[in-house]
Order: sequence, then structure tokens, then C-alpha cells
Amino acid sequence: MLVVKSLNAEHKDLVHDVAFDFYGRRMATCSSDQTVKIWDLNDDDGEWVCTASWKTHCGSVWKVTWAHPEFGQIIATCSFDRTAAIWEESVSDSGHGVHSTWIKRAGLVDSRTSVMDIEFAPKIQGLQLATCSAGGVVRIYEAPDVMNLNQWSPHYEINCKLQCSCISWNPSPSRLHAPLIAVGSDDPNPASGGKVFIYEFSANTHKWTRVETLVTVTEPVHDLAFAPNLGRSYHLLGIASKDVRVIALKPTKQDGSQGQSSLTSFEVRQAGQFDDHGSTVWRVSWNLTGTILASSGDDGCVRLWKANYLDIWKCISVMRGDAVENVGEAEETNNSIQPCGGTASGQHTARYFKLAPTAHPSHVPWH
Amino acid sequence: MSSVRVDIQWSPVAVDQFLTWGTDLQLYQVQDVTPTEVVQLPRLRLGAKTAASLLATNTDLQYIKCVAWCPGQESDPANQLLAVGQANGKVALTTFSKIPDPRGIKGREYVPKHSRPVSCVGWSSQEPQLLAAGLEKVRTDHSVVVCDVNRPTHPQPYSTFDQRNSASGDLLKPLAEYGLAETTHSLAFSLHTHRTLIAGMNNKHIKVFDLRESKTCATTNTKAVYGICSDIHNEHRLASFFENQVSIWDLRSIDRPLLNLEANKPVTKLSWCPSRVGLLGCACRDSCGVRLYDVLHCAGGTGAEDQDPAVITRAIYPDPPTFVSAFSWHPQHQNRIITASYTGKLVDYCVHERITVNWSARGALVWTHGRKTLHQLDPSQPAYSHLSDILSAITTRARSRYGLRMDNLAANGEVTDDLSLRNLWMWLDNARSLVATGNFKLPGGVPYKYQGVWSLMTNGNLSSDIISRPWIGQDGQKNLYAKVFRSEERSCALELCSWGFEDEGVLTSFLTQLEAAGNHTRAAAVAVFNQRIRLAIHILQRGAVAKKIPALNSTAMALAGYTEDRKGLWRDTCTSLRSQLTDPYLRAMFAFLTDDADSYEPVLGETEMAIQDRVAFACTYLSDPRLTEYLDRLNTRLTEEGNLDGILLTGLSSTEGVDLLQRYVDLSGDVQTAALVTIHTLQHALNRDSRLTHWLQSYRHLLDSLGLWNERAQLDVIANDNKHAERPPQHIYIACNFCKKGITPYIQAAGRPRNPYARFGTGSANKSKMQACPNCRKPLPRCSLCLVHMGTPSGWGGCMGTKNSSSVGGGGGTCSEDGGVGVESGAGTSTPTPNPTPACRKLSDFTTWFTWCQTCRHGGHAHHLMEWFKEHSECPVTNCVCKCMSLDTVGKVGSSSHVAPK
Repeated sequence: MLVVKSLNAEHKDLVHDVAFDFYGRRMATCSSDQTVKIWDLNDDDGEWVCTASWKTHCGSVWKVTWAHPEFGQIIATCSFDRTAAIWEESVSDSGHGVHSTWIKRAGLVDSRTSVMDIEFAPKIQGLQLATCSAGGVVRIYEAPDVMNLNQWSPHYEINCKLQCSCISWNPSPSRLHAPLIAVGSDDPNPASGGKVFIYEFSANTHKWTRVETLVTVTEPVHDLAFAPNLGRSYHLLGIASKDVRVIALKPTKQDGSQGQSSLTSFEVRQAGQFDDHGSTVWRVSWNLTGTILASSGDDGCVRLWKANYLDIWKCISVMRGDAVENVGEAEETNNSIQPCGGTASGQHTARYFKLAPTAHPSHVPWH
Repeated sequence: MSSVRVDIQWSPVAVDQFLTWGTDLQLYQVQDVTPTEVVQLPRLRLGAKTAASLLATNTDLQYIKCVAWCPGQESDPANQLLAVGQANGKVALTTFSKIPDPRGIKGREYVPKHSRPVSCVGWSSQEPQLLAAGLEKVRTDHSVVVCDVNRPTHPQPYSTFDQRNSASGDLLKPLAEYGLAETTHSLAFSLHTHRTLIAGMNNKHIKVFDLRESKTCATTNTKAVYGICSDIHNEHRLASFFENQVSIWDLRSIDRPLLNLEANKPVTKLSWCPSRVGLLGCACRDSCGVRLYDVLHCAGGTGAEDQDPAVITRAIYPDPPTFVSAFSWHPQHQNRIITASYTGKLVDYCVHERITVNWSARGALVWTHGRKTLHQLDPSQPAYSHLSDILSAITTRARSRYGLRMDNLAANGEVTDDLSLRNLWMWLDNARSLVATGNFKLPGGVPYKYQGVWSLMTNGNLSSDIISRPWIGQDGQKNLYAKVFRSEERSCALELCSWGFEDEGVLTSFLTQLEAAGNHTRAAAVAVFNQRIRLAIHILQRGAVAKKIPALNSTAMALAGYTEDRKGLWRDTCTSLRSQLTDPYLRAMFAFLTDDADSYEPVLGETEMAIQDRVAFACTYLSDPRLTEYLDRLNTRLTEEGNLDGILLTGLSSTEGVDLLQRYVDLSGDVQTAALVTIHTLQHALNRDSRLTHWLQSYRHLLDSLGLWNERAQLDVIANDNKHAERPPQHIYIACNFCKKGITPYIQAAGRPRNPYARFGTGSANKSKMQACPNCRKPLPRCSLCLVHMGTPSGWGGCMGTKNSSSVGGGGGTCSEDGGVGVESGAGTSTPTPNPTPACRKLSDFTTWFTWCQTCRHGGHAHHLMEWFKEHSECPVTNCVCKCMSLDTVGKVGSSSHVAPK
């Protein structure tokens, strides 16, 4: 039996995204009810307390993301109303206690279509922000003056040619790795080819260039996330598509100084592909160390994936969305791993089979 | 069950009843069951927690084409009227009630003039007595018929009819008729507008009829004329389909569809979800899923009029691999759907909302459930420990100062339970002491710098001498000799493996050490490997006593019978029974003794033996080519596994060691250990290998994110320990307002003989006060609260003391007086209240610090300002409205608990 904490988000409609700040002490939720709520962790009892709630957009708010705290308490939101917005907290002390108000610092109105995803760049790249739109354009904004959040200049525009659904910066804090962005497309047509693109920024040419297209992913991609790269020699990318995929991107160039001058080439290896959800996978998220991947799917379950010491990924836990029970333990004993042999290119595919299916997760009545 | 396609519908009034029809009409009731309960016929299991029992069957009607359940409220759900359209053109009204209907509506039939199949029936939800039927084409008749079932029939009503004698028919004059000589494929009443009927006709039109004015008020050309359904949440929205295409319409601008959605197979049924806005369910032929279109903002709210609608397509698979023939949304329960397959199997299913999921830096996993609930899995919860998350390990280790113990590196390993980490720190400790003493020289006189055995062996050409080493303590037998190899490199290697037994004392102390740690079998094996069989027997005997394992005695006995004889009984027995020993060292010991061809494969292959023993053994007994080959193999394998024990082979001086660490990080995610090894031993290589910097940066970043700032700072201290030149410059200077010269070097906390803040002053006690600039002799600014020049003590003494002396403080005036006293007699001692604890007293040093607001440039004694801002939000300076304390939002994060009670 799984015991979890529950919280009523008090949104009037579907919650689309939950984002944590750098320290995990603050949480932002956004919803179809066009509002964003900020939650602060109460140190005493570990409960989340809503400290701000306001209407942000004239449409569903798809995503919310926090900037690194060294830039201040800043969040960015993107919405169906074709805009993205930057919000900064302003704390006022009225004498009756601290009040936090979130002030809109900038609206990014360049997109002509719904802005699907938004993410701040890693701290090392300054105050940069990437958005992607349903029209297939990735825009990278930068606040040239971190003290003036009203000014955001659209520095780069990348046309992906396919409608975009999600974006992820490579969070590596190392200057060794050139800035990388992964973009996923939810274009429904499998014939349009790979749906995940990797762009790299070259400091010399000042351009973002597509360095990789994951041709193996042809189904619509709903979410993707670079794992925090804590000292690993390769980058991990989690992809939510028809199934959960874990892709390892290993830079083939070792020398850091050369990497600046020319584009990195990657050795792409599929570390895992799992259709346990049995249906569309909506979201993927990495833990802080990039060792556990959480995925959520249409079967109403959250599954956790981890690599074992042989670098074979497998499911370590399944949690029903309604959190009534945990079928993870049973799962663990029931599964077996069968690594399939590598192909000539040295690709290694790990597959995960479930021998005895658990009780069908779908049979959960609403309560 | 039936071979006819089964359709299904929830009761509009009874929340636990539903209807299926194929050849006959069946009414079911849903019951709650437990997932394990056996559900037998006539009950049907619907899902993990529900089952259905058959309440009633109606077999009177044949050739059922379509059924519609009257949405009006009835007191008894069984009295709910059903309109059944039949293939012969009749529309029959029936209920599941056994008692006759007093109103005489039940049992009526509406028979068209020309017999042709009824394609659809529909009730008005606004006026539940209105029934519409769509019929196929006949040249002289209308295809849309609307009747009022409450209106007295023509001719005289057969008020006593029950359904059994209704065959004569009930010729009723319709309320309205439309579509002369046309075909109607589907129709639906508008759910919002009175008496408005929408019908799909002739494979090419959707027509909207207004019953009040009896005319066609809108029409459009489209092929999507099937399955018209009106959205309960949006009065203007409707959906229809044609083959693979689903169209969504806005009644206000019906000229073209708002949206066309492609399904991959021919659509058979469409239905809007009543409990959620904009969710359209769609069943397709020969498909085991129900497609769900989440239509957002389709001509929705304000400001979204001109936007393209966004659609999220989903598919649910209630019961794969059976094909879904029909489904029905539950009218009240959220997102509940029931599906029927072609075989008649029914599944009760709940459509989950999309779950969004995220991890926090504190390791909490949050996901949404339904629309509004968030669930959180915390690291504090027991279920979390099953994940064996490396993050928890890193956090725990960091909190217990893992890797921050400089003096005794081995103590760092004791923080963890991980054996290989302990070994690693032991090795680091040993290696560092070898480096530090400088006595240990590698072949060629090179000073030791964290080299490993492998790099030693491959450094130059290995040329070893063969030495015959005598067995010691084999009394009464002829002298036996073991063939061992010796060279300078091997000796060094043995020393690195702590096997450097050049003199007897080292070996003895090593063995004693092992014995003391309880590793008797290992000590015995090492003794045997060094030709001291009698010693080994003694060790085993002691082990038997100490560890209360009598079996060791028998092992010692067996050992005592060691003979060189190659064909002896002893040897045969040992060889055959050796594999049954559980202890790897005993196995290795006997394998060594019974080895014939000097191959030693069983010993070297004993993977449970410590790496250092195996390597040392190999360095003693293997010839040069075999040794190189063995070490190469071992090295490759350990690196492949990311096994930290391999550090013995690779060392840390070469890239191989870094490769091994990299592999370890890749596999385990434990960047902590890699970063700590780096700062302790690989400082010199930081610039050479970018990976090391990466680890260090990553770990610092991680500590920051975890909020372990003290640990991060200590890490920085260690990392920059030997970099005096790169010590970061002072961050803040204080300069005189007048001469602009820095005064920081002169500042010293007054009345403090010992200055703990060395960077604030040069520490000479004679500069006790400084209220003026030492260069130009102009006074320093005043504290905005006590109005005394800065440089004087704040006078309130221990800052924690004011907790109980808050009444003493009072206004600014008294403050300055107190300040005067404070200067005379020293801050700490003259406070009226005794200082609570020494810790607080130490904090009081802070009180005299210069503090100022970066925005309004007002400031004063730190302690005064803190007191002020406890009760005020604005700056203490007259007319300054700067909210100095609130400007820094970090203060906000810290004070979140302050906000919380609200």
C-alpha cells in the first residue's frame, strides 16, 4: 500500500504542469483555468501552502518554469493564447505579514500559434529562455540585462518545420558541453520522419544548428527531458511518445577546446524503450541526479525507471494516479530482462518484458 | 452472445443502470465488487471493482435499429421511456416497467406511411415529450418526423395498451415533418436552444430546423452527416462524422467545420463527454480503443475566437484486444465510460486525465490526479526507500561530512556501508600517505604519485627473476621450494597491495591486522601464498576459536596434510572437495596447494577474493607475459564494470584511472565520490582533464540545489586549499564618503580584544574605536537608528539577549544612551540581562557591523536594523519608503513559514 501526501490544487480546471524551483522549496502549478498558483513549503509540517494565485493568460497555461534563483524569483509561463510571459515576485511587507505579488515583467508575443513549452536555460548561459510553438518555431530569448526583466530580445529563431510540443535544455553545468536543446514534435504523421531534434549552439558562429534527428522516434512526441548530467560522459534524454524511451547521446569528441570550434557529433544509443503504459505517454521527468525517470501515461499510472548496475533500464515502481495502491513490488518480481543483441553499429537495445501482467490498471472506478 | 452489434447507453436518470441492445433490450444494474471476488453469471464483471446484474430484458421488439432513452425525470427509473426505432419504420415507445403506464404513452407506436428503416431517434432534453425520428428516403414522404408523445393521439388513444397488444399501431399526426423525399442519417436536438433540431441528410447536408417557426434555419454542405451530437458544455458546438473524418461545427457559422479530425479507421460512434469540457469520444470500426479528442478553445472563451483550435488526441484501450463496438459516457460520474465489444463484453472504464509529473530537488515526486489533486511521494515515506535512489545516499553522505575529512581519508569511507567505497578511501588514504612521506620510490627513483599496479607494470620493460622460495615450517620433510617472480616493479606493486613482505615483520603485522579484523581465512590464505603453512594452520585454529566456526579446525587439519606428492590421496581429495568450500579464500588456498602446472587459474579466477590479493598473487606467481595479460584482462573488466576496486590497478595518475571513475559515475550516478576523489588527489590534473572539472562542478551544483551550502563551502575550502594565489578577492569594501579611501582595513569591532573576523581588520588592539575616517578625519555616517557614528558598538550587547530585553530597547533615544555605556564598558558584559548561551554571545559580534540597503543606501548597525525590521517594513529614515528588508526575496523564501499560517 502506497501512502502518499495529497493536496488539493484548488484549480478550476485540469492542471497542466507542476514545476519546482531550484531548491524544491517552491512549486508552481498552471492550469486550463488560465491561472498559476505558487506554493511554498512550510518548514514545520512539510505541507505546501499556496502563497499566490493569479490569472496569467487568456487561455490554457501549458507550462510553467522557474529561473535559477540567482536571477531572482522568476517564473515563465506559456499559453494557448500564443504568448509567453515572465513574472517576477515582489514581496511587500504590509505590517500584517509578508505578501507576495507576482508582477508581469514581459510578454513574449512573437508566436503566431499556441506556445507549447517554455524553459529557462541553465544558469551558465545567463538569463535565456527557449519557447516552442505549435507552428514549429523555437525561439530563444535573452534578457541582456539581468536587472531589467522587461527587456527580452528574441535572439534566435529556429524553424523546425514540424509542429513542436516540447523543448528541453541540456542542463549540464559544465562549460565543456556546448548548449544543447532537444525539441519534440507531436506531428501525428509517422511519415514525416524523426520527431526529436537536437540543436546545438556554436559559440563561434553564434548559431543554433541541428546536429541530430532521432529517426527512430516517428510517433508523436508529447514530452522530452534531458537528464541532469551529473558527471556522466553522455547525455540522457527521456522521451514520452507512444512509449517511454531513454536515449543516450555520447559526444564523440573528447577535447573540450575543439568542441567549441565545431559542432559536436553524437553517438546515439537507445538505452531503453518501454511500452508498459500500453498507451500514450504524456510526461517524463528526471530526478535531480538524473538516475530515475518518472513517466505518466494514459493508463493512469506513474512509472519509475532506473538503470541497474549493468546499465539496463527497467521499471522499478508503478504508482496509480489515484495513489490507492502500489503495484511496484509485484512488478519487480514478475519481470525479467532480456537484452537484445547489439547490431553492427554497436547499438544496444534493452527491452523489458512483463511475464505476468498485473491486474489491468485501467479498471479503476472514479471516486 | 449476440452476433448483432451491441450498443450501450447509461441511464439518464439512474446512476447505476445502463442499457444494451442488439437483438433485444437489456437493462443492467452496476454493483460494487472487490477485485478478487468471483463474479458468476448472470452477473457480468465490468472491471476491477464493478459488476453488472441483469435487471430486465425486453424481447418484444424486433429489428431494433436505434434506441433513445427519454432524458426527462421520472420518479421510477423503470418508467423511463425508451424510443426504439425499428427496421420496418416503426418507432415504439416502451419502458422496462411491468405495470401499465397510466398516461398510456408506453406501448405506443409511430408508424410512417411508407415502411422504411428508422435511422435514428432522438429526444429533446429541454422538452422531454418531444421525440424526433429520422427515416430513410421515400419519394412522397418526409424523412424527419417530430412528435409530442404527451399529445393525445389520433384517433382516440389506446390508453390501456400495454406493449403486447400494440401491434395495430398508433397513427399519430406528427408535430412537424421535414425533408420531403430526403434521407436522414442522424439527428439530434440542440441541448441548449429550444426546439431546434439538427439533422444530417442525403449524404451531403447538415440542416438545422427550428420547430417554432417550422422552417430550415441553416444548412451546409458536407459529407459528415452521421452521428450528429450536440455538446452539452457548448451550446454552439456539435460534432458529426463521415467515414474516417470527424467534423466539429459551430452552429453560428455552420458554413464550414471548425475542425476536421482524422481517425485512422471508419468511425462508428461519437459522443461528447458530459462531465468534462471539450472531450469527444469516438469509436472506430475494428479498433480496440476509443479515441478521445480533447478539443480546447474551439471557438471558446474570450480572445480565442480567431485562434485555431488545439486538439489533443488520445486513445484508451479499455480491454485490449477486443474490438469496441459502442461506448457510453456516464451522465454524472466524472470521465466514466462503459464500452461494449462485438462479442457483448462490457467494460466499465474511467478515462484518466493526463497526468503531469515532476521531481523536486528535494527528491519529492509530484503527480496530478484528475483535475485538481496533486499527489506527492516524499523521500521520508517508506515507499521511497524501495527506489534506492542515489540522491538519498548522496544527501545522507554529504550531511555526515562525507569526503570532507581531510586528515584521515579512510574515515570518509566509514560514512557509507558500501564496501567498495570504503576500500577506495582506504586506498586513497594509503596512497596519500605514500605520496606525503615521499619515501616510497618507484623503479627508477620516480616519486610515487598515485600510480596503480597496471601503470607500474606497463611503464617499462618487465624483466623478472625467478626465485625459489622455501616453504617455512614444513619440518620433517625435505625442503620444498615455490617458484616466485621478483623484480623492482613487482615489489612496488606488492607494496601497493599491502603485500610488501620484504621482511618478515611486515607480513606478520599484516596478518595480525587481518586476524584482528576477523578475516582469519584471508590471513591464512595470505600466509599460505607466502609459503608459511604452519602459520596458516595456527591462524585457522585461532579463527575457529575466535569466530566459533569449528569447521576451520578441520580445514586446518586438512591443510596440515599438505604434500608435494602429485598423485597422493590428499591431493585428489582436496581437488574434488575444494569446490564445496564456501569461503573464497579457503578455496583459493587449496587451489594453490593442489595446483600442478603453475597455472593458478582457479586462484586468479576467484572473483570473491579481494582485488588486491588477487593482484598481489599474480605479481608473485605469474610470469611476465602472463602477468601482463592477466592484469590487462582484469583492468579491462573492472573498468567495464565501473568497479572502484580497479583503482588499485589503474591508479589515479593516468587517464585510465579517470576512465574508471567515469565509468563508475556513468553506471551509478555517484558523482559525489568522483568529485571528492578529484579534490583530494587529482587537483593537479583538473586543468588537464575536463571530466574532473565537470564532476566537481556537478557536485557543487548538486549541493547547492540540496541547500547544503555549508558542505559546499567546505568543499570549496578543500578544493582551494593549495591555491593561495587564486583566493577570491574581498567582496565588499567600505570607503569614506569624503575622501573615497577605503577604511575597511582599519575597522575593528570595538571592545573586542580578540577579533574573530580576521578579514575585517589587522587585529591590533590599540585601534579600538574608529568613528572617523582614518585618512581625512571626517566622521563616518551615523546609524540611522541610534544616530551614533558608525564604528561604535551598537550597545545592545548580545543580540539574542534582546529577546528578553526587548522592553529595554525602547526608542531610538535610549538606544544611543545605551550605546554610550556600551563603549565604556565593553558590549558583552554590561548588558542588563545575562547572556543566554555562549553561542548567542558569539553572534553578538555581528551587531556592530555596517549594514546598509543596496537600494536606498540607508543603513546602520546591523543589529539595530534587524530589530527595526522585525516590526517595520519601511526604512527607518524619515520619508524613505524603501522596503529594504523585503527587497531581497531570499528573505521571503526563508520566511515562508511565516506566511504559512495565513
